[in-house]
Amino acid sequence: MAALSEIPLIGVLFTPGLWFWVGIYAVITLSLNLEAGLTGIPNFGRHLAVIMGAVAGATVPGYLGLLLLPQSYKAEIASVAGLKLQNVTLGLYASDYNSAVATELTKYYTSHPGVSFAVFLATVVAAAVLGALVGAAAAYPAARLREDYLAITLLAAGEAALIIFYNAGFMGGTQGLTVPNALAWLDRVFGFLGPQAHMASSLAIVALLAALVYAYMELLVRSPAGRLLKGVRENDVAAEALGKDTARIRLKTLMMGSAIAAVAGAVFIMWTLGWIATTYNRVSWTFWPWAMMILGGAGNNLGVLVGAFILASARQLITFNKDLLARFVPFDPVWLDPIILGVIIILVLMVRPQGLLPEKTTYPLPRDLLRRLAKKHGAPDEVRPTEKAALD
Amino acid sequence: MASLVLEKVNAGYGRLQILFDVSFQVPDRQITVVVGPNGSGKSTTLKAIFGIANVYSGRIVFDGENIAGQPPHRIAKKGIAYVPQTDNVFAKLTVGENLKMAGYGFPEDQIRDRVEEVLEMFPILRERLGQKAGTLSGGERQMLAIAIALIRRPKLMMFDEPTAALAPKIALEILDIIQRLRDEHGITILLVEQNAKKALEIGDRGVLLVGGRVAFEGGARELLEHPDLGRMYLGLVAEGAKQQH
Amino acid sequence: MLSPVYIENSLLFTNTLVMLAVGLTLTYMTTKVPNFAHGSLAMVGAYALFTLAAVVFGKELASFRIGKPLGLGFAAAFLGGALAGLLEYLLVLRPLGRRGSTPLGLMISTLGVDLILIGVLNIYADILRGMNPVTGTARDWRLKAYVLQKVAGLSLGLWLSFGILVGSLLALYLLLTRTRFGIAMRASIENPALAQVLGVNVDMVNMVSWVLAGGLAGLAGGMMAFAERLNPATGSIEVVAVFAASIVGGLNSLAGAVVGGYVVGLSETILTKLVGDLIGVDLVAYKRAVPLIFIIVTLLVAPEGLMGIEWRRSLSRLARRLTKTGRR
Repeated sequence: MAALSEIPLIGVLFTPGLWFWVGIYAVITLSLNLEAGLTGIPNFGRHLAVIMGAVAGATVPGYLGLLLLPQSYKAEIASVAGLKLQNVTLGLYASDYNSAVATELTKYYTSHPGVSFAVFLATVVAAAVLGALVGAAAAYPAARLREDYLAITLLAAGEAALIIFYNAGFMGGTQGLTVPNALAWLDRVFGFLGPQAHMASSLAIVALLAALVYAYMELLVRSPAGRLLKGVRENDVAAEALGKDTARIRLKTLMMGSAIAAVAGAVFIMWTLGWIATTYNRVSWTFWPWAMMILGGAGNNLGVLVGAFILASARQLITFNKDLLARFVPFDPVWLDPIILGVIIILVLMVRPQGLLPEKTTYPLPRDLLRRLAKKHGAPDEVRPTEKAALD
Repeated sequence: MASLVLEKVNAGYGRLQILFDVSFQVPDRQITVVVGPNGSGKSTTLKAIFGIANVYSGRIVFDGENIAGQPPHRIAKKGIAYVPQTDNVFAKLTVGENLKMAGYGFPEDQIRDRVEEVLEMFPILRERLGQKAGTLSGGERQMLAIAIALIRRPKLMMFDEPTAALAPKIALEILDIIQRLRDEHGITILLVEQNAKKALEIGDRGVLLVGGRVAFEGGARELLEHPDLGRMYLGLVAEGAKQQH
Repeated sequence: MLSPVYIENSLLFTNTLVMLAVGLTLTYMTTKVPNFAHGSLAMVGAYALFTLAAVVFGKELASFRIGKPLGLGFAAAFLGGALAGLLEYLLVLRPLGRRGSTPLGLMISTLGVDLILIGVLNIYADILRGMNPVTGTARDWRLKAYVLQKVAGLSLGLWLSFGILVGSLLALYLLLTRTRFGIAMRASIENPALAQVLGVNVDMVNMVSWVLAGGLAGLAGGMMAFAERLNPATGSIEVVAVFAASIVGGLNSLAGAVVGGYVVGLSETILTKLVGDLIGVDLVAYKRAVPLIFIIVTLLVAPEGLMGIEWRRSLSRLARRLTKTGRR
C-alpha cells in the first residue's frame, strides 16, 4: 500500500488520506444535494452545520470526558500542569493545559473502550442534534426569501458562526484545541496496523457514514417522498395546491441535511484530533461542495460521488505534486487551488450546467414491470417520455 | 411600394421554433392586421421584426434593407416603433419623464416640439403629466405607450394586442387613434390583435397566422367575410385561400 | 470611551464600505446579479496602486508625500478595477446570461470569478515581492504615512478618503441625472425591454455600469489601504459586509447604498465599541458578526431595505395599530 503511493503523480490516489477526504466531501455534498439538488433550497451556509458538528466533535470528548475521568488520570494532569487536584475542572480543557488534558483523556479512552465507544456515540448524537437545530433555524428564512436572498442569508449565518466560535473561550479561542481521540475503541481493533491504526479507524467510520447516507439518498430518490421533494423544487405553488405543506417539507429537509453535515463535521474532528476555527471557512465547506455537486450533477447521487472524487483528488494531486508542478508553472502551485475551483465552476455552468451525470427520472418499480402492469390494465402502446429540460 | 416585406421567415426563441416560412407584405401607409388563434406566433412575428426573437432564416426587408437579425436598438433607429403588450411604459417615471425618455437620441428642441404634438393628440395625458405612469388606468397607459412610440415619428408602428384587457369603449377609442395615425400622419401600421373582427374592420390588409404559418393573406375585408374563416382559424382547412397580392 | 484614533479608523473603514456598496448596488441594479467578486475587484485596484506607487516609483509607501505617486496610483486603481469589472461582465456574466442562466447560477459564477481573482492576485503578490526594492513584500501593506500626517486636526488620510468618496459620488450623480447616457441608464434599469425599444443599447449600458462599478471598487481598494493592512484576499473577506451595506440600504437604490454603508460601517466599528464599553464586555472581537446580523434581520423584516420601505404608509399603519390598542 505504501509502495503504491510512491508512484509519481498519481501515487496520491493510493493514500488513505485522499479517500478520507473523498468520503467526507461525499457525505457533505450528498447533504447539499438533499437540500439544494432535490428540494431546491440554495444552501450557501453549508459550513454552518459543519461547524456545529465540529464544535460537538471538539467539545464532547473533552468536556464529557473530563466529567467521567477517574481520579488517577486527573492526578496525572494535575502534576503535569503543576496544579492542585481539585483545580482540575472542566474549564481546564480549553486552557493553556489543553494538550495535557487531551493526552490524558486519550489514554483513558484507549484503556477503556466501553467508555470510548459511549463518548463516540454521544458525540455523534450531539452533532446530529446540533445540526438538526440549525437546520430548523434555517427553515424560517427558507420559507420566506427568494433564492439569491436566501443564499446570502444562509451564507451570513455560516460566517457569523465562524466568527463566534473563533473567539469563544470554551473553544480555545484563537489557539484552538487539541481533541482527545473519540475513536480510541476502534483504533484498538486496528491495532495490528501500528501507527496507521487511527487512519484506518477514521477511514472505516467515514466509509460507513458515506455508505449509510448514500443508501438513504438513493432510497429517498426512488420513493414518493423523494418525488415530493422534487415537486416542491419545481413548483411549490402547485405542491401547496395539492395539499402539501411545503414549509414543513423544507423544515424536515433542512433538519436532515444539516444533521448529516454536522455528523460529517464531527467525524472530521475525530480524524484530525484538532480544532482550529478558521478551517471551517465558506470556501472549503460550502463552495467546494457546491462545485462538486454542480460538476457531478445536481440531483444525481452518483453524480455527487463522482464530483466529490474528481475535485478531492484534484486538490490532493496538486498538493502532493507541488514540487513537480512548481517546475512547470512560474508561481507557487498552492494558488492553483482557488483558480482551478473557480474555473471549473464557471466552465460547468457555461458548458454543461446539468453536470456530468444529469439527474435522471427515477421509477418506483423496474421499468419493464411497469410496462407490463400498464399493458395489463389496458394502457395503449408506450408513449415516448418527454426529455428532461437540460437547463439550470 | 411595400414598406415591410417578410420572406420565408423562420423564427423562434432559442431552440424553440415558432414561425415556419412566414411570408407576407405590409404595404406603405396601410393598416395590416395579423390575426390568429392563441400561440400561433402573432407576437413572435413582431418580436422577430424588432430583433427581440431569434430569426433562423429568411429575410425581413424594410425600405429596401434586410433588417433580419439586427439588434433592437439599431432597428429602432431605422424608424420602426414597437408597442409591446405589457410593460410598455416606465411605471416609476412620471408621464412627463416618460415622454422625455421617449425622445432618447433626438435633439432637445425636437423632443419638446414632438411632446407638444403628442399631447395635442392625447389631451388626457396633459392632465396627468406629473403622475407616475404606473398609476394610470389601462386605457390611459395604452395611450401613453402609443404616445411614447409616436414621439419618434416612426415610419412603421407595430402594435401587440393594444386592446387586450381594455373595456370595449376604450378599445374602440384606441383603434380609432390607430386609424388616425394612418390617415393624419401617414404611418404604416402592423397590428396584431386577438379581437379579429374589430381589428379587421379598420384594417386594409389581413394576415391569418395558424400554427406559425400563414394561412391567408389578402384584403382585410376579404378575410373578415371569408366563408372558411372560422375553420381556417381552427386549422381545419390546411392551405386556406392563401393569396399573394 | 472612544479615542479619536479609533473614530478616525472607523470613518476610514466606513467610507470604503460606502464606496464598495455603491458599486455593488450599481451592478445589481443593471444586471440583477449580487456580485461576490466585488471585493476582489477592489483588490485589483489596490494592487494596481501598489504596483505604481511602490514598485514603479520605488518608494517606501510609508514615507512619500502627497502628489504624483499617489494621484497616479489612484488613477491606476480606478483603471485596474474598471478593467477587471469589464472582463467579469464580458467573459462570464454576459455569456451565461445569454445561455439562460438563473439568477442563482449567475451568483454562483461570481463566486467562481472571486476565487480566480484571489488566486491570480496572490500569484501577482508573489511576483511583486521580488520586484519591490524597499520592503520586499507585497502583503500586509497599507498607506500609513497618510494616516499619520495631520491637516487641520484630522489625518491626511481621512481628508483624502472623504475627498475621493464625495468626488466620486458627485460625479456619479451628475452622470445619472444630467447626461443623456445617465438617463438612458436609469431607464434601462427600470425597464430594459422598453429602453431597447426606444433605441437604448442596453448591452452597452450594462457594460458601462460594470466599468464604473469596477472603477469605483478599484478606488475603494486604494481607500481601504488607509484603514487596514491589505492582502490579496482582503476584499473577499470584507465582501459580506459590503453585501450587508447594500442590502440594508436597499439593493435597488444607490442612495440606499450610501445610507446602508454608513449604518453598517458605523455600527460595526463605533456602535460595537460603545455598547461593549457600556455593558462591560469586549464585543470588538465579534464586530465582524454585526454586518451578518444586519443581513439576516433586514432580509427577514424588510427585504427591500431602508429605501424600499414606504415610510409614510408603514408609519401611518403603525400609528393606526397603536391607537387602536390604546382605545381598547
